[in-house]
Amino acid sequence: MRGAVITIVAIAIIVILGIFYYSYQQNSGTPIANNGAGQILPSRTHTVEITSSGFSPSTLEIKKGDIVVFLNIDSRSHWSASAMHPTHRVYPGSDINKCGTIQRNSIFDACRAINTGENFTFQFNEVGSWNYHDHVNINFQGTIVVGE
Amino acid sequence: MKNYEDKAILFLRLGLAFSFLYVVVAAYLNPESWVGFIPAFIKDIFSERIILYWHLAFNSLIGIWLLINRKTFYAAVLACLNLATIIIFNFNAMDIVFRDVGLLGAAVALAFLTWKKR
Repeated sequence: MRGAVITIVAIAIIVILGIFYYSYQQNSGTPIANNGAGQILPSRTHTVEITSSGFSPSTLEIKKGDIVVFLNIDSRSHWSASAMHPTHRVYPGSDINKCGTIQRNSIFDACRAINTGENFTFQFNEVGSWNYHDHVNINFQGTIVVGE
Repeated sequence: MKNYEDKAILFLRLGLAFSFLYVVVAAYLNPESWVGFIPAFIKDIFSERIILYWHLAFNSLIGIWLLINRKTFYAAVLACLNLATIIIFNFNAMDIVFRDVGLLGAAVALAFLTWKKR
């Protein structure tokens, strides 16, 4: 009897947490106005190739305002995005929940798997060391170091 | 001492069961966040959704088995194998899977504690 009660309570907790999680996912994608984070600054363009063995170069040093093109030259599709998996919130302003909203173009997140030959481009306006990963293959990791 | 051992087993079972069943709910609601844990060479052979759903079924089995508390030793062994596989195949992403190392330790402890009852 006691075991049954514990089992029921445990299942109830899991179901309630599942409902909260689902509600959170549904409510967090509300579109809001672009705050101008994607403003154009004088910049250089760098390319990170996504190969079958990962990002190349895996660490890239750039200046604030520079643009990085993540070019997929692998036969599989890849999804470059800010750490941490799966929320992508480490780069300021980024959040996977903003994919599909008007803010999509101002976040460090491809927001979809990029096919062979396609690319995802992002301008880094925040100084710091930003880890990123492939959302559909988390073993692929890299770092963009943004200096002044 | 026996009483403490039973309590330790209870909390290990509940904690591990929660983790395994949480993955099932979260991955069912948002599968794209979880397919990244599937090794690329397996995706080349099978559809990633099929692999994900098989994995979720396996997680459900382990989670429910841990809650039922029958032959828990074998559930703990399956939990160890599951967690070890995740850690090995995603070793480069230790920033993400480091908690699985802790869970593996808990599963190993549960296996040792239930060894005599198997």
